[in-house]
Amino acid sequence: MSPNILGVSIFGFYLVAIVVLGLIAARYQKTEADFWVAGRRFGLGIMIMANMAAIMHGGAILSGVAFAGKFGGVAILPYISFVGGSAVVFYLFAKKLRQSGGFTIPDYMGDRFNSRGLRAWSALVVAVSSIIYLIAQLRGMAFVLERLLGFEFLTCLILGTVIFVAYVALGGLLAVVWTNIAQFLFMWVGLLILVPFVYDAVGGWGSVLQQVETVAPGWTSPTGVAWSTSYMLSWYLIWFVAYSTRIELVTKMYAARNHKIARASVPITIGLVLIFLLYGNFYLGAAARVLVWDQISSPDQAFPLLVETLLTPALAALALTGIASAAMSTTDSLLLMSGSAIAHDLVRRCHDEPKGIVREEREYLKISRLSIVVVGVTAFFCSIPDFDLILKIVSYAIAIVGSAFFFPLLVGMTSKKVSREAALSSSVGGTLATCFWIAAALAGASWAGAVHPGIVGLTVGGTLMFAVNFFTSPVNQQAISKFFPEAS
Amino acid sequence: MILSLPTLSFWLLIGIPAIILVVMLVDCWRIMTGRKE
Repeated sequence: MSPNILGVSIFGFYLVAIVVLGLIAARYQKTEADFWVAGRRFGLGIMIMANMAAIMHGGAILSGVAFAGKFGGVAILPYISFVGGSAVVFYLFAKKLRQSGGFTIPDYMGDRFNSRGLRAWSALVVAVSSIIYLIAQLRGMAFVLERLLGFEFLTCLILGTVIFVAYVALGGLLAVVWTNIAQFLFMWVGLLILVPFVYDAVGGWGSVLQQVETVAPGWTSPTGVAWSTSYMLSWYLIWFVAYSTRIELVTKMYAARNHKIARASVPITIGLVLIFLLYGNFYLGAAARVLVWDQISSPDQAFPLLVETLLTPALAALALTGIASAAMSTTDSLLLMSGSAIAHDLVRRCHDEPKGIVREEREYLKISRLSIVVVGVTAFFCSIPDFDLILKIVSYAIAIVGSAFFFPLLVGMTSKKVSREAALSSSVGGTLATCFWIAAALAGASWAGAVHPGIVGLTVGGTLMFAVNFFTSPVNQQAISKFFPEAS
Repeated sequence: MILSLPTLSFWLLIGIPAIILVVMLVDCWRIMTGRKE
């Protein structure tokens, strides 16, 4: 494969720009708070951009177009769940998280339930699930770069990983957010370039929906072309839980200048995301189904082929750069989250502080950067082999995170009468039940295919939360005063 | 067809989420202007 000169030039410029941003952001890093939550200085505009960039997965466009094209637009985009989940964050979580002054979800779990065990367990779940996601994201990004640059897969993987690790380790959240804004603009440019060409090929909304219904009857129905009503409902429930426990979004609340900004950023973000998906997934998914579906062997090829079919090589390179940018904006957030789970939660809060070990902030900054490098290198080596299993597990990762955190977050934020034991058993039991169900589904057990693993995990987690709470005592009032100031 | 109102598809995709979102945005405005805690 010969390198694509134009793709190399555009992407080369882009990579240099984000590394420079990382270097500039590195100058602002003095403490751990600077690194992980950017000194809690974000205003509303930055928060919205940061939230959007973290939510819009690299796969959001590639797999969004692929899934929407394959299964149907309404089926694959459960907007009610997206809005419902973010309403939970807006009304119940955002204010208390920001006021509690933590850095991470394990901070919430440890502080709210006054438990080092729960903090360590949560850090483990965040680190492992983020690394699994990261592997899929790195592979996805390398595939796009392969197409864009014309280099071998491994070269693209090394290039992408080194750039990421460099700017995240240098500049922490500040670098991530600045580069996210640049990536976000690139992504919009990449997508908007397509508008006149797609419109020319398939027409507007009414036209494309009529055409897609002709080639794939049922595409615009709630259950799409392949699903049953029960599958649709479980899909909607899983996404509701996934959006209310979306770590990338929930963690950003800590970086807002105050709790009002933290809260206000949520509905504005979700409104913009939905508008984006309506075009980026729904309309383009329908167009892909009409225009290129019979020329592809896998749905993942739908978007790249749509781009290459409709655009000139120069514009296609720009559009694919935009999509590679979207892949990066999630990958760096994941790198940051798993790094913080190791450096902040496990090393500082679970190991150093209980043992009375005192280190300088500069030393914690070094540990934070080292943890980013360790996570990046681990994910890189796991991304090299074509582990089909990892990619299958990724599709269940939202279920693992949801069953670990949904009830401890929801019940812990709304009731003072929750015990540590109830939260721990809900989180551990829910996660293990989900993992067990995933393993059974991957092993081909027919009974495991009847229900989504996330539904099983949530049922077990919810049951344990209420059952164990019945027999145990709530966390003492003094410990929870950060979350319920009126009680102290 | 999703655009031929009112269909279940329309309400699931755009209608109900838009209503919830508008309620949230109004509350967001009230929080930012200090009319709601």
